[in-house]
Amino acid sequence: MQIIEIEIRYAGGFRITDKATWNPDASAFHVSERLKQVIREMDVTEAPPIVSATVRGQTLSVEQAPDGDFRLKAGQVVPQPPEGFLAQLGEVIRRPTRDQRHQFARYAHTLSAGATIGAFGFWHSTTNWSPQNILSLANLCLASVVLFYIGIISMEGE
Amino acid sequence: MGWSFGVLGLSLVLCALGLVMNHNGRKADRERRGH
Repeated sequence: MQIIEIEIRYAGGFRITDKATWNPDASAFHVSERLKQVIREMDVTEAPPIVSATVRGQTLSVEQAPDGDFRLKAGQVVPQPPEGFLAQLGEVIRRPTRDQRHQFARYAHTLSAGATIGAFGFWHSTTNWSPQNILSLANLCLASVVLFYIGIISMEGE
Repeated sequence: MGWSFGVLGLSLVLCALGLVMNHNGRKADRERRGH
């Protein structure tokens, strides 16, 4: 048993956040009788809500059972937290959070700035404009643009 | 000249990684919101 947070959102903008007891063996989320009464009252005038529960840092979509409690939707499981360096790294690539994507964007923008500064330094320090040097400068400029682009894409969010 | 291609190659690798993370992250966000 574990105390978790449950959120109920209605189309009309009304939002309820409450605590619930999670029973992992039965995949059930037990809520208070008070919350069940509120939901019954709201169902009279509101469209069916979207209900989500936050378990182990993951927000999962749940549905109401006939007894008024909630349960995971069919086929959904609570993901186990990754253990070990490689598993955590894989999780960052497979299911990155918004903050992790933003951090990646900042890193890309830092490298983009580095490439831009490097290109200017290279330009000012070059006296012999051979094809190799021109290509080096072009590569730095291209790297700067590519990194800036991916930084902007990753920063966009939703 | 070779180092500049190395810089460009690294940039493209990071670009690919960023695109994959962005795609997977948006999908994970939608799942977390229950949509």
